[in-house]
Amino acid sequence: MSLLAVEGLDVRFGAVHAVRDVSFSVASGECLALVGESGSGKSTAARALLGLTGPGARTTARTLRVDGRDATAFGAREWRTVRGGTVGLVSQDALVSLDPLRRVGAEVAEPLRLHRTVEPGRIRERVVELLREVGVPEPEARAAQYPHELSGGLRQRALIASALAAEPKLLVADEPTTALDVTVQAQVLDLLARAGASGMGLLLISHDLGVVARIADRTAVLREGAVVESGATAELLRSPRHPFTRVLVEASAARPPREPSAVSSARRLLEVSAVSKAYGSRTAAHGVSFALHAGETVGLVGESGSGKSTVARIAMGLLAPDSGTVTLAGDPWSALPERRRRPLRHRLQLVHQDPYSSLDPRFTVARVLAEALPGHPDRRARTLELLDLVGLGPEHLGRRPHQLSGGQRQRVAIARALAPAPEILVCDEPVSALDASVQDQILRLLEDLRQRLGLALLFISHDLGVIRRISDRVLVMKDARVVEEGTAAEVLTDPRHPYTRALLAAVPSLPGPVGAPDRA
Amino acid sequence: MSALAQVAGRGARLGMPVAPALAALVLALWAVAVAAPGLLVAADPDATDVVAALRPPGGAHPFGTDELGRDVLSRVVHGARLSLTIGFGATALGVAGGLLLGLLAASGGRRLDQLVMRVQDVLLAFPELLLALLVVTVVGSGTGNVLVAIGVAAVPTYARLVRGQALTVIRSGYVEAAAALGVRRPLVVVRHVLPNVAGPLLVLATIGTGTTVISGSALSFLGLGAAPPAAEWGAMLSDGREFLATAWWTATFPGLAIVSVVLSVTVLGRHLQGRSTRGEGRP
Amino acid sequence: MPETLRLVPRRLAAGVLVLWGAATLAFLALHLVPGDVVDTVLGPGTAATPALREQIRLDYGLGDPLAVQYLRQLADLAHGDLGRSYQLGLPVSQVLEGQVAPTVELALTATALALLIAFAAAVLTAGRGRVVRSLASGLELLAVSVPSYWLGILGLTFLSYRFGLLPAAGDSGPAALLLPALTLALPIGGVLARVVRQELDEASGRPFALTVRARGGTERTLLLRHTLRHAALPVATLSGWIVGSLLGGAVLTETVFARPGLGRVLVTAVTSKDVPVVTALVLLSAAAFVVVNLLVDLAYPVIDPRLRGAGTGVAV
Repeated sequence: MSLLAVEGLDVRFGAVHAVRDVSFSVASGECLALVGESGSGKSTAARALLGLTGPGARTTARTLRVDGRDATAFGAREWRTVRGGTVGLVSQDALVSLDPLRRVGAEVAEPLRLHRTVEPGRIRERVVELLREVGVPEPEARAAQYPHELSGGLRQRALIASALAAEPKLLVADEPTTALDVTVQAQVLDLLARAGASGMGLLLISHDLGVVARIADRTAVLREGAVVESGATAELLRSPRHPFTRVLVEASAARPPREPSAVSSARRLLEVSAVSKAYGSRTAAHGVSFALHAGETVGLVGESGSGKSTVARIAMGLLAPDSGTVTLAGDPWSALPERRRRPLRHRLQLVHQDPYSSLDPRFTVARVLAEALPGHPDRRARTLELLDLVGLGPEHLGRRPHQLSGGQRQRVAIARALAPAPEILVCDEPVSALDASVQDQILRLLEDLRQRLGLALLFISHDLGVIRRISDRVLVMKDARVVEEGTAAEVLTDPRHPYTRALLAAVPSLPGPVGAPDRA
Repeated sequence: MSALAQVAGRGARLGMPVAPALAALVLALWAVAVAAPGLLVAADPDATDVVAALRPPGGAHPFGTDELGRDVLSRVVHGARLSLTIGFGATALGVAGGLLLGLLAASGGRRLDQLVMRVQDVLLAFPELLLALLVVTVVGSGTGNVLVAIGVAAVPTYARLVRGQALTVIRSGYVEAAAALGVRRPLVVVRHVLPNVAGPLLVLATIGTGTTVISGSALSFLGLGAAPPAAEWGAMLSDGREFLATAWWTATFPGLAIVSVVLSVTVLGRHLQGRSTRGEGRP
Repeated sequence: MPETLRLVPRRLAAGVLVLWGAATLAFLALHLVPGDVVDTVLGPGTAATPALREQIRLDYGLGDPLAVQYLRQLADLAHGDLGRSYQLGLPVSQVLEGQVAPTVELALTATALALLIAFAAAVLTAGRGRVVRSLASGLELLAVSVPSYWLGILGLTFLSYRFGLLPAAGDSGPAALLLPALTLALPIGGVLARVVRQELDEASGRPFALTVRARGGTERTLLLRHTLRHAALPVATLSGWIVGSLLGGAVLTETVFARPGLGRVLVTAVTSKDVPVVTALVLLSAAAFVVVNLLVDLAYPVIDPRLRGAGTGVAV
């Protein structure tokens, strides 16, 4: 018998139909994944299983059976026995999903108290036991700490321990590894998979097919609130039937490193030599050196806090290095005073990480581009040309950032960067805030622009999949230093540094290459 | 179903701005009182009539008369000019000073920022009313001096908001993009920082006007603002206080006038605040 | 919490800096006052021989260069000497003696009432329907829009004179304290109630609240065990503002209710341009502000463990 049976689930927020006629089931010991992009309704569907869609929602279902009980008729009291007791929830980021003002131990103990699963005198003991079971070292000491004092991985384990505390039969994990660095991600996924092996049902919500491929038995793909395709995970990923599933699979498929670009002249455009930068006692960059040649793409990869963005700012001449130099086409760059750098700034431009904060909220698209085209003789024609270049039309000219989607905002930011006709584009995590299918479009666009305009790209990302796809050469940064450098093929297929190897091993990716490297 | 939602939606659209619209109407009325009080009341606010002293509300004197037989309604209407000049003038002064110092601190480099902020720390340690009292001690009492005193006392609050907002803008991606395009710093301030600071500043200034109106009337109440014969709400309250036991109306109506202004600017300010956060919160 | 205690010297230094700035400001104010100080000391309309004027000048040390006067004033302050009143000819400390207690009593009572009003209103309306909430926010709006001194006047008019429920003036026991403290507390309570309610609403929408609900916790569990503590943070942040409002409000409340206290002294001093008394009171209020902020800085990490050990910004 299935632990959970859902048929014809609908959730509406006012006029917004967030979940449309969704049906699925989870048996004990089984892992079902709900996959979709942001706004696809996957999290809302998961919350409906706990009766937690919120006061503004209207939730209906033909069938909603939780552990054999009909949940459509549940009142507040019945729901509370289900929550935590029958169905546990693990959310995205334990830093905010655990009460930051309470000790880890108190958070894990709360479900024990609420559901009275153990007698009050044994609660402390049980908390320590639970923490140990999810692989938290020194559980006694950790229980006395606060969430922010634990590392991301340990925190997430503690959150899982608190979800498991009242021994639920089904665990709902909503993007449980999204906030974690890839190396930690793998360990937490293994932990969840083990919970499934002990007979618990697992409903995994994720945008990441790599994660899904790793632990889900079956997968349902959601788009705009409706299930577009579902089936056994391996089968679904191998031969996706729905076009949207195909896009998702395509976007997250492991690709062989792309063919190096034909760097015709091998002209050194930008040379960074032994650059260091410290903020107080924290070193953000230490002895970083690399060169960017005309027409090539250099990928700079590293986890958060590794110093990638600092290097980007120094290369841009927006941040002065403490030591070391940057030269632009052989001439001094970092050493110039801003007054003399300004006339040369058009030669290299920046595409920023967060596509929302990178546009002035008060500016229309036309004004954003006008700022980048000061004194241009035929501004309107050039503006339209730029929009066309990034796949936008004249209808977008009058829009403000909040009227654009994330992908469109990033296209505008790219158009602005292209306006002064630069030779170099520095892209700082340009796709990390975007959904996979939009990521795919932006990466295609950048690659296309590189070829058409002969740009050199310094491409910064934490995502090896993205780096693999776009880079000719790759630099790996860890703790403010470059630990490995080489062609994409060398670094990504035959890494020398142990850190690069760990990084590669941890990337959740689909088995086997799908299709040829994309050079459209 | 959808018809219901439509009705609810329209209700929300129409229902929400009732309070702000009412507030705007009240302020418009007071604006008339400031510009042309004669349009609203005929009686001379300073005409004394000892025979008709301390008459209760009714008849020829809807708000009654004070101890000298002056018409309270007329004095309340005419009093708007002094009371509101102090309130709005002080806010304007505080905003101007705060804008200047805040922008200077945010865009003038670290040293200047440190200096301005330390001075702010000292000034913020004084309650606004006490700071205003200190300024009055130095420059003396009177309407103009009270305006300056309250305005100066409000500067630190605005400077702090402007600095905070300006720093957020300066650290944003679009200012970085402008720097990468070679846009000069002063132009960045005019083009990006100022317009993005203006919204929150307007909201705070609107709500802050309530505070300055209260402070201004308070200083007059203490006998430091408008000189006695002049009609001013705080001064009227101070006079009326002496007849509390017998003539409640002398102190009640000037107070209601203050409340109507403060309530209106606060409602309007919060409405603007809600609108701006909703606008920016849109994905 | 040894890590928190290590911050104390730095906070103290910052506080001393603020006090030094305040003293400097006070000194500047003293010497910016137009007109001859001697006239102020003598009082209006008094004729005095040049010899007497010179004597006064010597007494108050007005003949020395400004730098000397400035340093002397700082040195005096460091010894707790607040100077001498122009009007009364007495040391300022003597003028203030006996006035501190009534004001502190009023301020503490008002603080307690304001906190009570704020948290009671917030807890009673948290998670309630639209009607209750709009009623509460309407009352809060009214509380912050009414000048406290006018509220005091109304209270006197109706409660004391009309119905004789409460004593009208004076400093006789708790009954006489209630009305002044309440008028002082209402505007502050109104602001705090709004802040607390907003924080409760926001906290109950954060991801950890979902976690609590998903564990089977009731809204009551969420409020009492989790969000109420979060709501204490913005209140702590506002404590500097509360001190300011109390001191500023005391000036008016004491005048309205004819209570003894520092506020009354201040009004008299401002009216008669008794600069030493005014500056002493300004310094005193700055000192109160510094002390309260120091206490709050120490309380912060107790409420919010995330602040423990980390060097945090100045909480104002």
